[in-house]
Amino acid sequence: MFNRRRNIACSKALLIFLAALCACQATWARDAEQIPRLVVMAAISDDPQRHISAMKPLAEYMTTMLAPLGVQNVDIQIAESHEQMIRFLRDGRVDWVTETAYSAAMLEKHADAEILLRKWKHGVPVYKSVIFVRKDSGIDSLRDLQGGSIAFQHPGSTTGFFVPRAAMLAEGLALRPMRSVRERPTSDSVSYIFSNAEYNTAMWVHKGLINAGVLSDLDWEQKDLIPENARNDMKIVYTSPPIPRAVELVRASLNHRVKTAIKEILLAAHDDPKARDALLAYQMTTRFDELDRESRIALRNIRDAVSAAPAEMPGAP
Amino acid sequence: MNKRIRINLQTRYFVQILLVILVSMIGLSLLSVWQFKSAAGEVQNVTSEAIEAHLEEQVRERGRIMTQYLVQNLTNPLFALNLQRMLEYLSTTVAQRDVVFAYVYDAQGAIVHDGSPAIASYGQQLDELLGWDAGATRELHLVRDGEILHIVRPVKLGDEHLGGVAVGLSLDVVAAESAGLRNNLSALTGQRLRKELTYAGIFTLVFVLAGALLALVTGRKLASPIRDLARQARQLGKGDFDHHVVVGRNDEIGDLALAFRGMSQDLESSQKEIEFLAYHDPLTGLPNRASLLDSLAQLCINCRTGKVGGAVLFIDLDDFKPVNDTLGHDAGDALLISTAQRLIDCLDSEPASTWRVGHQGKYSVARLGGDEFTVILENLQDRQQAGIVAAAVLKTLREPFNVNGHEVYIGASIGIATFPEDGRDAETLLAHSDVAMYHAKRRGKHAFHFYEDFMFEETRDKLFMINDLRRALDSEGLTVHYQPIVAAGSGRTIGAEALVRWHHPKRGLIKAAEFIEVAEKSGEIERLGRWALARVCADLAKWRDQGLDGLFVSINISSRQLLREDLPDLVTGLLAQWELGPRDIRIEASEDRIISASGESVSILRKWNEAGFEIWIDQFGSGSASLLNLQRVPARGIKLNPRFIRNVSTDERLRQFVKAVIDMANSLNLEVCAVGVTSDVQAQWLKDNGCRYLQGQFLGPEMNARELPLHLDFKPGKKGPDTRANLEAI
Repeated sequence: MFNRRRNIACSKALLIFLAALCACQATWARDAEQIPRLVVMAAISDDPQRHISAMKPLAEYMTTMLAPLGVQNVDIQIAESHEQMIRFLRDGRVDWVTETAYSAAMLEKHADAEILLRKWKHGVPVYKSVIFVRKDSGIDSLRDLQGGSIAFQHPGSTTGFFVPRAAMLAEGLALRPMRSVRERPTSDSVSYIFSNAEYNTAMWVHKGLINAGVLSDLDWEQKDLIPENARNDMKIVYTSPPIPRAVELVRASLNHRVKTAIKEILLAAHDDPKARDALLAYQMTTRFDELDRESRIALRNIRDAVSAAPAEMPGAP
Repeated sequence: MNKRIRINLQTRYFVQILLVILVSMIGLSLLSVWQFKSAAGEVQNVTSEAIEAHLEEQVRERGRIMTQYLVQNLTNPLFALNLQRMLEYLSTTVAQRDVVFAYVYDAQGAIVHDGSPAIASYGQQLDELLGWDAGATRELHLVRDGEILHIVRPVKLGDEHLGGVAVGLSLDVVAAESAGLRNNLSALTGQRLRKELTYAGIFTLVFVLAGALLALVTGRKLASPIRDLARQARQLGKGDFDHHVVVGRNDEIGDLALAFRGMSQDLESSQKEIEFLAYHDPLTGLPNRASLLDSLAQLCINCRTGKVGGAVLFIDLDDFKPVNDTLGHDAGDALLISTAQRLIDCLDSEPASTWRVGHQGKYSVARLGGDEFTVILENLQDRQQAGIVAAAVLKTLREPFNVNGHEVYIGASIGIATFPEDGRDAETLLAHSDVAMYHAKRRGKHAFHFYEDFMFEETRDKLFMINDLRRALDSEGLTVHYQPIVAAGSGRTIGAEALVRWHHPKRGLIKAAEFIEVAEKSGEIERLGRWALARVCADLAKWRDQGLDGLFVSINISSRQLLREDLPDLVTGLLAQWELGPRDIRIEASEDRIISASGESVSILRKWNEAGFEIWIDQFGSGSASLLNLQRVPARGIKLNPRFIRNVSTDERLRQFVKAVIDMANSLNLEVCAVGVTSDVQAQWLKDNGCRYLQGQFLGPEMNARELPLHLDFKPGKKGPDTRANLEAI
């Protein structure tokens, strides 16, 4: 049984190899002679320990899966920030990164990383950004926010910052950061502040400390995050298009065969019982799939936004 | 009737001691329980107050630490209004059991967070929620509000006042702990109390048991001699003097026992005295009738078992009464004492004692009462031995007695009844000896007779006669007849002698002489006399009412009655009831009684005279009365014995004698009435020889009250015969 399965896996790998060979002859030609012994998967985190233990099962799985290709080991590397990750990618110290849409756009832009797959983080393929206000605030659209205040999630948050900011900028609204939630907003712009917590965002809006708040649709629906009666007092004035929940990126200069092998293995992982535990540990991932059109548009929009406004890293409140 | 429950002394004593112990023990127990309770209550209060204070201090300390921790962690969140952080800290704070509330408030004292996700009290003023100006405080404040401790600690960032945290800690825990402690203490106290009560119960039980034992012992010690005394008293009541309770105690009970013993001894001696009196004649010291009956009963038993004979001698003194009457009762008593002595002496001496020698003969003397004595003889070989003794007794009693200086002659009549011939039991023997004595007396006294059955019948007749007489007195079975008394000179009837006649249903008419003795013996004589007198008075009154004036009625009065001092007055009173006077009747009394009378009798006779009654001496010449005494007697006249008259016309010597008697009477100023005149010759002779009154068949038979006026040829309205005038003429 075991042998047979192994045979299947081997023939699968061979098939993928042949397909890749045909599709990307150029890449293939450049890295053809070099199959790295070590593949490094990475993530940005301020809690390296947690991330390493979450990623370790998948790394071991991938070691097993990539071994026929000649990869001897899959290692884990944690970066403290986008800048570090960008440097790691540029230096070739990192081959494979898992990130949110905004980070992915950043890495694409600044570190020449390429998005490989969509990851169903926490079992969710896509999510949206919502802007909400108190029902009695008199605000019905984004434009009504002019002269008001808004609470974003945090500077690295896709749905909590980049997507709504892009939407607001697209509406022609000017954004001005506030130092404190107590600060009075200026009339010529929309004053914003990072709440750093979904609960803060919701309750600030609800208690009238701020005019609007930003959350992902997932957080908005989460009952234990926002008290039911508080949510009933509020309404959504903007909802963004769906955005991939998370994506897998690889270094553009990674050996093409390895790149392709990783993609093939991950796409099939949700069918492999041996991978299940590793996927669950890896941010409750249920599967990987190809980016659909909607996701690609969303990513492009983000990428465009990132390109339009150079990377800003405002501090947390 | 209410019957009270009897509780004996020991039980009462026992119960009382037990009650006293029980009440004191219960009282003591209650007192100690009360003391214990109050002390325990005090301890409980003090302890729980101290512990309450300690617990509250612990809560205060906890409040201080808790708020300090919150301030440390929430200063930045408060500055940044990081509600998420506040929620994290406050929600864990309010989740604690004793935390009533936990607030973060801002510089204006408005609530920023209360630990609930929706922040229900957001924006409310802390002062309003807590009830005091907590929001303005710039330093730690602990304020107790009922069962809640408010801890308010301000938050500063640099010099800027940001607000603060306020936590309410429930003191319910303290109260609960305190209550729990109180309960524990109370339970402990209860346990202890139960233990105390158990001890008290055990002590009470022990004391009660000990007390019961003590009470039992003491009660018994107290009651048992009393019970013994009571038992002795009961025995005393039954006449048992032999058992004496010995109470060796030197206290009241000992005194009681001694007194009891003294009383018992006194009782015994007086009992013996009483017994002696009961069984002995106080005058002579001889056994009495009761004793005699016992002795006789014993004789019967002895004779039956020893198969020997026995006898009882019934001794009745002859001529004792005159001694008593003339010499007085003291003399009579002296005579009886002498008689007793003489009987004993006689039986001790020859020849009466000869029968005893060799036969273990025994005798005993008793006095039955009056002049009656008995002698019991035991171990007789034959009847004749009793005769010998009786003869000796007769002989010794015939000897003259010296009584108070007087020489007195008496004698005795003795009846003998022997065992087993004349009776086999005490009563029969005594009765038969009595009958035999009576027979002897009737046969002329101074003799003894053995009992024979015919004697009993004689006596029985007499006995029956007594009953018949009583019945006759009750049912008017008696009548009074009258025999005219005629003045010898004029031949006119001047009076009549009343003669009581008895119409016996079987025997026919019975003359007074035949039943007067019976009447005297049975004690009916007085009633008979009263009845006769009343009858006579009634007849006299009737005659008078018919116009038959001037007749007198002679009445025989029994010699015994005659000497009653009060009789003259009684008779006078009776006469007065019928408006009659003493002249209407004459009193007749038998010769021997009047003439042998002592000085005392004479004085009573004088009383009759003083009352206006005439005394006539009846049956003169039949007795042995001393003529010498005749001149002293205040009598009006004499009635000659009919025996003198019967042959007076034929017997010359008798004629001489009668004439002498009449002469003597006349010389003594005594009038003479002849009784039993049956012929004109007799009447003439008597009249010629100085006899002034005549009475007899010839002159007028006895007749009833109705017949008398007819006999006198008297018709109502016609003036009666002036007898008195005729009498004077003679």
